[in-house]
Amino acid sequence: MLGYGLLKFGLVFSTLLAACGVSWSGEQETVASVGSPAVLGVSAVTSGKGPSGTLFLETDAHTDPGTLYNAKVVIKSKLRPALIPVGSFLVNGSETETQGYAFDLKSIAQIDQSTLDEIGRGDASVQIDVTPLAGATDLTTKDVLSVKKAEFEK
Amino acid sequence: MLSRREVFQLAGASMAIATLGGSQSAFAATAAKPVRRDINDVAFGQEATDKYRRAVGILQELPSSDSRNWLNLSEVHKNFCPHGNWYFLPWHRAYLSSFENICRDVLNDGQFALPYWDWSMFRQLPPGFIHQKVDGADNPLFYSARAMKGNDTLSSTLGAEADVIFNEGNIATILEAKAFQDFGSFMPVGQNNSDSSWQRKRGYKSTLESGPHDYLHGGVGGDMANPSISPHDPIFYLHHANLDRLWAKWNSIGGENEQSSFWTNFVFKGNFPLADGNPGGDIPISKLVNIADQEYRYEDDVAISISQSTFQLNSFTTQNWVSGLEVGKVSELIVANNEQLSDGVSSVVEEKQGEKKLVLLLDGVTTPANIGTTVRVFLNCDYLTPATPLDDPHYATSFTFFVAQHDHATGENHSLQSFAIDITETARNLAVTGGRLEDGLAVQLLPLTFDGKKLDDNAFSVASIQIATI
Repeated sequence: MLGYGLLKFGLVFSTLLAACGVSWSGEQETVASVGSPAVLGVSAVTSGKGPSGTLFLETDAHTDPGTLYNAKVVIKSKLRPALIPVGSFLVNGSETETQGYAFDLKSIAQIDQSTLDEIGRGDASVQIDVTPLAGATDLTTKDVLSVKKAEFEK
Repeated sequence: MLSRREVFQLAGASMAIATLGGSQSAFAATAAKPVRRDINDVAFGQEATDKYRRAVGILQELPSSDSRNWLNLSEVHKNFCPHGNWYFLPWHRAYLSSFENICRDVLNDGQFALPYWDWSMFRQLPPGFIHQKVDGADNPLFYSARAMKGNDTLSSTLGAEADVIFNEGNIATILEAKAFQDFGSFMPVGQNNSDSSWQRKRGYKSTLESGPHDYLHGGVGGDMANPSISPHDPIFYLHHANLDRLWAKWNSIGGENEQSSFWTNFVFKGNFPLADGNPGGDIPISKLVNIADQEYRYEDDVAISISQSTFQLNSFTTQNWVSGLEVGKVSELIVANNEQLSDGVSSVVEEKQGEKKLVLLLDGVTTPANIGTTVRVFLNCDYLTPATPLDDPHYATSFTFFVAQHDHATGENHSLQSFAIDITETARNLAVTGGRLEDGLAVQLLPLTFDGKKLDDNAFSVASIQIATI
């Protein structure tokens, strides 16, 4: 009964996400602007790029040099509604090339083995919220950050 | 036996004790090396600031034809620095060593060592960097193209994120990384040999690089936020000295460097000028990975050099701390003098530069509701207020609270904390300045929020204190 409930919730949730244009399958670049997070499916891979349990992100900044934004990274599990904070990084317009970031998900207290398994099955997405840093005056909702790739090392 | 968490707390409080590896002889062998010290160190910070100021001033005055000219040295970073890959830490170690040797040369001071800025413990610009003039002359450490000014804190320039990024708990978590790449950033994507062409290819930033490294550059702002010109700001070198110190600390607590030949066989080719300004040769990573092979050491090297068997705590007194603590208010406990305490304090104070340490142990510390709280620890200060500067001779250290001990979901505290605070230098300073040590020891705690705001319902408590030597 519980399993059916979870399955039903998962189907409904997936349908809702699909209706919102959100994909779980990854590899589809999305853009974050202030007030509008980027959401990208996490691809589960065995690339050898790093230890098992590492989340790798690739991003491009679209901000002007000297204008800084905070990018907060959370994991959205397909079956669990709670957002799990993973960490954050600085969006710096002075860094014009694609940037790569790695987060050790095994060190996150709220991520247990079942959640890691779920991410390892490709059943999770990453959401990135961007906010101007204290003192920033440019608060417009222009594009801040493209999230090009989100990969989880199985 | 200290737990791993306690070890980090000790390290965070600049404790010079050890639980891992090394030997007394290792300490003796490194004792003559120039010592990189905390720029905010009560005893040595001013001297370190003055020396660094003189060096920067000289380099800024060198002609542009000299490779050691201040802006030319910044070009080295622009032209060769790797970021976002596993050469990040060793390259910057070599860059700082080159810079440090040049400073020694222009100062004609073989004992010069770069100070470091421990931004986890002190989240404002070091005092020597704030003012445009010092003694009526231009201050070479002041930099106008810097967003962080005066008494700004990292929280005021970065917002609440700074309280997480620079929290000691986050630093402790970073130091718990098991693999080098987790700690010091990842191999460039697709790298298949150790050719120098991989030096600046993109890998992935570890939390150390994307967190404290990047945010500090952003928090100071201005030119520091631009990788092409960030070393224009004299604070750059102190920031990276602290990252280098954390690498040494990670090694000291068991972190093992990368074993891949793509990393160990890598060579930085002709990147760095020599002390006399002539072009430097090749520097292999193999010469950079061991802190013991470098021409400097960190002041807390003792922490990696004393074997576990030498750790012994001699407690003189334990007293309960009855009153609660509130943000902005001084709480004080006077430890009455007695023969044992007097002898213990004297034995450390009179040793002057020995290995024996006087420590204050705070036990049963509850966590305030707002963990963005720092607690300043003073001894015997008659005039203590929130405005009392951290270079006051009565100041010992500051500590803050570990995020990891909060349950993120419920916000509950699961355990009390204990802090060990090294008060050796403070006691020595007070002995020199007549700080009435003979009357007893007044331990004073002053909690303040990072953003300076007064908070209600933020009380916490300390169960008891001990004074001890180790």
